[in-house]
Amino acid sequence: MNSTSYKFYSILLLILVILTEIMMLLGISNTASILTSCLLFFCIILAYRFAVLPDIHRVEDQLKKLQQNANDYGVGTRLLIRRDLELSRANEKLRDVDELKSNFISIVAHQLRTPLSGIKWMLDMIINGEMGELNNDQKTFLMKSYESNNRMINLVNDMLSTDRIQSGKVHYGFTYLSIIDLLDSVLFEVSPAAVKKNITIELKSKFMGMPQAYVDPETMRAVIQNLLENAIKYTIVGGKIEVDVQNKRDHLEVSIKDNGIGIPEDEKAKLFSRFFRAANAIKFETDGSGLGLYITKAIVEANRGKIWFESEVGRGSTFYFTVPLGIINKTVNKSATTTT
Amino acid sequence: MAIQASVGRSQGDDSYTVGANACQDAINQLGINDPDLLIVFSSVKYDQQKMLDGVRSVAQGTLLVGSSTSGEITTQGPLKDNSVAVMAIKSPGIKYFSGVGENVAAGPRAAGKIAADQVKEKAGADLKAFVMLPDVLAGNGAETVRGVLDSLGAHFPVVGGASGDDFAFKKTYQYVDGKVYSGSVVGLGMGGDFKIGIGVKHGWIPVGEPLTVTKSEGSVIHEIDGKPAIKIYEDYFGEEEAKVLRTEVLAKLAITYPLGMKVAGSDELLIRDPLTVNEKGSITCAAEIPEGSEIRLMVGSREEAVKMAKIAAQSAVDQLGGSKPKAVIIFNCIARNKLFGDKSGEEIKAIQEAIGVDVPLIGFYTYGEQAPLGGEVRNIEKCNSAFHNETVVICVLAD
Repeated sequence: MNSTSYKFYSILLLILVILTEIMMLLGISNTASILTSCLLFFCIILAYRFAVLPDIHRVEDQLKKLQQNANDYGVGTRLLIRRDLELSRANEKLRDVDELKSNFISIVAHQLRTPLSGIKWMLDMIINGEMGELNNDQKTFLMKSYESNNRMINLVNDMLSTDRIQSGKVHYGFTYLSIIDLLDSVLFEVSPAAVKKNITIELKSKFMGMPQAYVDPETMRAVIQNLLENAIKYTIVGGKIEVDVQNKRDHLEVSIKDNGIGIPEDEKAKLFSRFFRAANAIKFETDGSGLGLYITKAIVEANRGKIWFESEVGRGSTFYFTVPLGIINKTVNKSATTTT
Repeated sequence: MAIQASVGRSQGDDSYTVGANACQDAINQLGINDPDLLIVFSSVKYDQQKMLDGVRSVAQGTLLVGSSTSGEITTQGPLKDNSVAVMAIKSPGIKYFSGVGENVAAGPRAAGKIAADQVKEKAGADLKAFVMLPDVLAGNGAETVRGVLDSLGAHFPVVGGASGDDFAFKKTYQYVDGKVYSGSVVGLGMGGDFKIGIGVKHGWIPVGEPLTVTKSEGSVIHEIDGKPAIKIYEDYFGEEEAKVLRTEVLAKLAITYPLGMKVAGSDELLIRDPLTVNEKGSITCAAEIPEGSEIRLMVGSREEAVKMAKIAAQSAVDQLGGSKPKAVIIFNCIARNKLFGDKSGEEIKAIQEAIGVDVPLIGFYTYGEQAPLGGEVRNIEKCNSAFHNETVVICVLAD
């Protein structure tokens, strides 16, 4: 028996003794009534022992367990907060190091760009015969140097763009504009490259009454240009590219579909990572920094949009991105032209 | 006539030029040369007077209020480099009135009352809402709010944010028209025909066991559960960190682990930021924690903070009675910026999803926020404006 039980039994016994005393004093007590009281006393003891006591024990056990749990949680919380503090510190340090790295890349890229531009300018003069007549071999080698130099310039530019995006230096001047007009304008720019490979670029409809999007014109142009250039780059000669724009109530969904080489299944997850290029893309086209899609994704997201793709190796890829409409939509009636 | 707003921003080295460019950017976007109000939020990196002179050079004579910050926010999200952000508003239906209460250090309640009195005197019965920009490094923020309410009445919609100084916790500035103040509280009263929606949420979660404040005076907690107040942080942070707590600014270490206390009128715990600790282990908070309060240590979660920011934005929009939002002002705690790190844009994006990406937005990272508990403004009897910490306050204006 525990202390609770002793207390209970002694209180009960005390009540019984007092009651018996009172009854005897009042003269209403006899042997039968005392016996009945005793019987009642033992009944209560039995009921308490077998019905109430186990419940009390159970509750006491549960309380103990809860107390133990609370203590454990307290200790656990302290440890987790200490760990959280450590990780936050480590994270801050990493961020500082990352910033240092970004600054370093930025400086190096800037320093590289000037001499590379100088080389480009001089090679251009030599190739154009301004320094005297060249034989065919000389011209071929110089052309190759010129192309390699150009690739380096593009790489440096991509690295600078990446750095500007990451460090938040890009200024987004959001405004309402017709995404159809922007598509038209970029299509016009990239069409020579498409014509060269005999690729047909088709707008799926005239997009009458398509509302204006709320985006930054400059960066959004870069997104469209990058996706179209990729589509042209990775589509075989004589292929086809389809451009579509769907109105999805609070945003527009732009899709650029090619019937090019496609993206291998196991490389899809890494496509938007920095410096990543799919194995079949490298084989197909050596040129590229692996930064284009990373930059594109960052820009689309800064413009409050999303970007994703569907692709099958050998059948082609479709890249989708969204642009927001804003709440003060303006409708634009602009017919789009088909570019070939 | 409808409210028109725009937000300009600029950054650079020359304070005057940066100020002028930011204001010019706003004016260009507005397409109107004579706005009715300019709101200016600036980094302390710039010479404050020169920056303000630059702003004023573009829009002379326009009523101007503003504050130094710990990070500016615009329609394009939080600005990563030290910037100047300017919102220009043209709204023939709204009247604006400014006031300033100086010397918060001598008496925060008196300073708050003076700022509000000045506004009330100009506005008369027309006053509908009050925006405040107090210095809380100089004095108790909750007292400043109390001073404002002494003047405007116990139930009055007050929103605002305490000036910042790029997380240095040394000196902050407030602006009215062409003048730079420090240790002051600036008030902006709004009257006339317009709608206002206010969202207030934090999303921080209590951890560990509840403790009782056993001795406190104003914003200073002396004892928690009978022990020196700093013991709560020493317990949680461990011995090594505890040593640093005594030597560095407590706010820098503890800002992402604030204290939360239960108050009536809000389903969330009201948060109090610890700012400094003295040699006896007493903690000074950004506003008071009354003796007997049950407090808990709070931790932040990005997911919860984003979710709550969106709910707050939605509730602000819901208060507009169907009108389209035309301008947004955000007062967002510096701790939230620290919690999010590089991802602070996510929270602003979530807010914009609820309000509209194209609604001109200005805001800053503050050392304390002011707003009615639970964002209640429609039922004025239940509108209890208070001083908050670690919270995002979203104020939306509409016709």
